[in-house]
Amino acid sequence: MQRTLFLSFALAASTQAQVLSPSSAPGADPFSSKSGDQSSNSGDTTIHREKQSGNSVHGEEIPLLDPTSKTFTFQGRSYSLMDNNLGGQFEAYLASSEYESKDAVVYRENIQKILDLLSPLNPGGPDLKEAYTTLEEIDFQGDGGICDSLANSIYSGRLAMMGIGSKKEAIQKLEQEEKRLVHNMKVLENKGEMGASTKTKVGSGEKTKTTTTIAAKSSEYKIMQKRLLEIIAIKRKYEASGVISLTQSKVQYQAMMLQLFIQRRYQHVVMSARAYNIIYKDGDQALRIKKGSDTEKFFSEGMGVNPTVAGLDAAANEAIHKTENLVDAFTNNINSNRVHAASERLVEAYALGEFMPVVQTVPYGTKERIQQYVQDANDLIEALSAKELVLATELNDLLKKQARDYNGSKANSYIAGHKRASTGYVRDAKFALFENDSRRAKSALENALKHWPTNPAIQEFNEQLDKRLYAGQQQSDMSSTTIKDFDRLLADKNYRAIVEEPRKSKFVVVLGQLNDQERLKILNEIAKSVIEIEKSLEKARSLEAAGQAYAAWEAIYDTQNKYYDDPKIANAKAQLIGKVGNFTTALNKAHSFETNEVSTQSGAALSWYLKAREIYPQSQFAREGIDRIVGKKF
Amino acid sequence: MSRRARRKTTKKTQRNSNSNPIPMILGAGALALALYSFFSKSDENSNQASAKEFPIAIYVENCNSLRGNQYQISGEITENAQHDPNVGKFIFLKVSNIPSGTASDTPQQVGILVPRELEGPNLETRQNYSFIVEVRKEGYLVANSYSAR
Repeated sequence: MQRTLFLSFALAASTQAQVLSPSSAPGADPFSSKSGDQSSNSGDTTIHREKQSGNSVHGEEIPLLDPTSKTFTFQGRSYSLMDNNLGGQFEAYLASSEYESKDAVVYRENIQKILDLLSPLNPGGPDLKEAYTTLEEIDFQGDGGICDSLANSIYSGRLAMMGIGSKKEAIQKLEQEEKRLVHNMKVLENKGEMGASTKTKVGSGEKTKTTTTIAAKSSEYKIMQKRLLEIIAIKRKYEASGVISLTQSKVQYQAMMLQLFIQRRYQHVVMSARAYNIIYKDGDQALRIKKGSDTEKFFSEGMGVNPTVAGLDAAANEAIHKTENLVDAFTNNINSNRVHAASERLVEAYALGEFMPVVQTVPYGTKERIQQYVQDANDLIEALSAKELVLATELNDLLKKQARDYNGSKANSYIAGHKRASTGYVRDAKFALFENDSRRAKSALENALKHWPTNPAIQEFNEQLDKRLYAGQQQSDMSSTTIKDFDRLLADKNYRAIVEEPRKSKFVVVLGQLNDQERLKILNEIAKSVIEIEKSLEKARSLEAAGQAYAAWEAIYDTQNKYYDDPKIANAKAQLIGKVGNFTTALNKAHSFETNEVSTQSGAALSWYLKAREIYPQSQFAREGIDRIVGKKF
Repeated sequence: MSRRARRKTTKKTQRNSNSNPIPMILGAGALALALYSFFSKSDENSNQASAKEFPIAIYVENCNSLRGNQYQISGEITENAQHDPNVGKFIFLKVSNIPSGTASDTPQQVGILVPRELEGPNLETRQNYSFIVEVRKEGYLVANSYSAR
């Protein structure tokens, strides 16, 4: 049976549509010497789903859920049903209710009637004429005109065989005439009405033969002689033409039978085989297949014997039986809600015997369940191929509900693996961005997209990235403006403006983000200076409030000298000078005399320091000046 | 021994030598000593008398211009600023003999270095003294002599 099954696949491989194809992998085609170029040679539209090369960490790239992905093995070679063409046809078959029409029913009844008429078990023996008549009357679109072709072949065969019969009669008549002529010629010879004889020696030595030719004198004898030669020639011609016509007729008929087998029209094959035996009664059943052809190789290599019409008939019957078994298995599976197995059996039955009544009469309601399942399975494959993992999850759950024998673990594993990988890569991308490694982030995001293009985490990541980019752009603008402000204020020596809030906080943030150490250092120094100035001013204010204007002046004097360009302390100092003018005058003079490098006048300086101390006895400046000048003498 | 101590001893000897030659001789000697003492005292007084009044207004504005000059300066010691046995004393003196017409905001105190070898009464704060001072380098006032007042 297995051989028969694969015979059908193998034969189908050499044709175009409506047939199955073996794997196109090099060396996998047992029927073609040009392995690997099958599609280009035959124009075969078959698409082979080859397993993707390269191993994935998640196992198989796509779990094999497709019910049309079954593989048959024959003599160590595989023939795959992974055929988009088959899948498409199968889906069309599932969706079609054409075979339930009245015409279809009548068609199938006629086919069965023809088979019965040609059967040896038909009452009164096979009735080729009635079968032929019925065959000619068939006009069903689903038949594709095959019955008509078969009828023509039968008619041609019959005509050929009738022609051969008339020639036989003519030959017989010629032979009778020949015998009569021979008899008459002998009579004439015995009467001695023959002419002189002529002896001719042929050869040499012992092998020498002598031929005696008697020349005819009678005109009647001569005419008889000529007619005898003509009869021999005509008889030879008739015999020759009759033999060629028979062979041609058989070859044409057998070619038609093989074509029917290739097209999986097994009932037609059976019909033609039975008609063959009625038409050609000479017992010659050898199939005349071209030597060295793929078909010849298949028969000789696969079966080891010369193919015959009877063998073809048996193969067709085996295919019919196998198809019926598959449909039966399908029915049982569908009844027990084993939809996955049912779909597989139906695909196999469809692939093997698409035009078998048992396949065509599967109720549409039953097929609809398979159609839904197959469609969802195909959608799942497409979803997994496109890494639409959310949709794939939904479809996988749906398939589980539809078929209790559906194993969704592979799909689950695949989906979970890719989801985990994608989300992990998104996390890597986030880390990379956090570490300002944009190249690694890009690579991680690409990997995340490869594993799950519609990963919500990627969308979320992109949105966050957009926000960050927008913020970065805003930040960049703000940073540029802020730095310009900083530099301008620094150039204007407007230090207090730099450290005034909220400007100072802005500078701190922006310069920190830009890691501008140089400006940060300047900002820090300015901030410290202002704090020092403020402390000094605060102290001066306290002292002044306590009535110690001189002390207040001394409190800010050094600070003001240090930060002479600070307007606030300069202003405070200026205000105090009005109150401590004599004191500051004394100190200034003292300091001036003391520090005069050209002509230091320590004596005068001492007097002025003493004057200052008179004004403000707690004067630190005065005391220090006095100590310096006195100390120079000791 | 200080000069003042020697002067007191001479005066006592002069009062006990009027009756005999020896005393005459002694008296002559004493006279000589007295004359010496007189002239010596006379020199001191003449130095003090010849020293100019201290031009404090000029001093506080340009003390170097007075360098090398001697001045008589009187006043109250306001502070013994520094004392070093090897160097002397540095006192602050509030000048009392301020020339008339001096601006009221002119400093009235000066610093005077009293060298360690200069003899004279003890220098106490809030006591008045009279100094002969010389204006030295950088306008420092160095006492040449002084006396209590």
